Amino acid sequence: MGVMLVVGTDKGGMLLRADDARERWLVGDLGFRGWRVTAAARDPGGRTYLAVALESFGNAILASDDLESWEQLEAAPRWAPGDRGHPDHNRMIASTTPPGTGADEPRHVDQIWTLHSAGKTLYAGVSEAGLFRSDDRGKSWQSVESLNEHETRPEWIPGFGGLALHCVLSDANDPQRLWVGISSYGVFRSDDGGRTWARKNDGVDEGETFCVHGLAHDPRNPERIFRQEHRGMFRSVDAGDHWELIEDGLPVSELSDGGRCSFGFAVQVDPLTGYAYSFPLAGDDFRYSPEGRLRVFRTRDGGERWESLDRGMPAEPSYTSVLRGAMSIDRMDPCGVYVGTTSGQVFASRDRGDSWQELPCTLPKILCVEAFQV
Amino acid sequence: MSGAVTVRLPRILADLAGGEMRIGVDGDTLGAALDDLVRKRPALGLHLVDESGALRRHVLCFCNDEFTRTRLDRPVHAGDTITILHSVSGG
Repeated sequence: MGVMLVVGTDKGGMLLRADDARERWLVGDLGFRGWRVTAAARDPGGRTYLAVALESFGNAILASDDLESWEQLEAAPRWAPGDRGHPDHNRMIASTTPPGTGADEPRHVDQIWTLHSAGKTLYAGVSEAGLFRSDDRGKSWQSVESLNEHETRPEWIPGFGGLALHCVLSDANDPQRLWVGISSYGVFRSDDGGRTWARKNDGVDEGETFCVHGLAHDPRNPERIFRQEHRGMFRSVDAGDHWELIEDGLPVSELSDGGRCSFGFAVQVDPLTGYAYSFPLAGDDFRYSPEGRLRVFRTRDGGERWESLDRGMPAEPSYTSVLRGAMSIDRMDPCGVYVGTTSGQVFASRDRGDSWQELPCTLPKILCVEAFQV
Repeated sequence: MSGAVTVRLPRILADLAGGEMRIGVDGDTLGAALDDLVRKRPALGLHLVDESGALRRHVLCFCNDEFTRTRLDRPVHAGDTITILHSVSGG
């Protein structure tokens, strides 16, 4: 037994392995070179999936049963030929692609933001925002039309990173219940296996749109959900019906419009203890670690109080960021916590965040980190 | 390598789709040759063609030394080489 860490970067992916002690890490070579590795998941049968993207050659999903050989699947989430793209999203994507791409483009899948395994179903959240599902381990993908063509879709607007469905949660005890997060339209929940969806933003004060950045819940108590929003850290104890701000102990920063909150993206929960973890950033103007200090924050009481964790983190000034997919927790006891920075460092804790070590590698900009027991 | 026409793939694409950088295909036009390429290596289809069925915007195609991206009806002959590149710019 041990832990495998998948680190997806702007220029490839890295697999790091450790035994149960998680003291020494075996660092591999950078694989999938040149491809953006944007998401990872592992299904109950032990198959691991990676999502890769390149502006020129689109998206794909790779699968491996042994973590040694990888096969690109022939199918991937794709919109139907006639689907019209969101003009603002296409303009934003066009800013990084050659001239000609723009507002009149059809709807494209330009990135797979998240892969989520729920029983026999594999979900993919993509931009332009949409949810896709596969019930045959990625051989084919179906658009979840009830959400993707939801009556509110004309109101969906992109966030700073585009119009993306980037978070998927499922209730292991109730396979009919799902949550998704869409930037910038907030959270939807389905109680009927994805046939119908309801918006769940009550208590989040953001006006008409809701820029959810991250979602995490405790699998033992799936109705308790942590929600990192553009305007702060929120919690629901009723499956998303109501939300409340929970920032006691979190660093608060000024936003570009003068508001103040604990801004950030990454949020995760240890499935064994229910402890939640966050990596706050210095507001939407700056998006780096507040005060130049690398700190993970943890709550051990469901969000009533957060504490700073930095033992073993660099003492020198560090101005870097952790993206929404770049924090992960293994299922060991005590849990390991892992964060990857946009500067290419990976920090690991093997004692629920009490202390940290930097893993022996410097990588390209880190987009995602996923820890799996192997 | 079977096929009268050779398709050369960029390393970044070949690595993902089995490792071969040169693949023999059949077809009497550029479009038919690319169709045969996707028949032989289905995983490449995602990378060459977008949702609308068109060649992806950033994919460049040369037939021998001629830039042919927009001419899928261009005839190709035994011995020709189709080179697929992608846009890379900046410095």
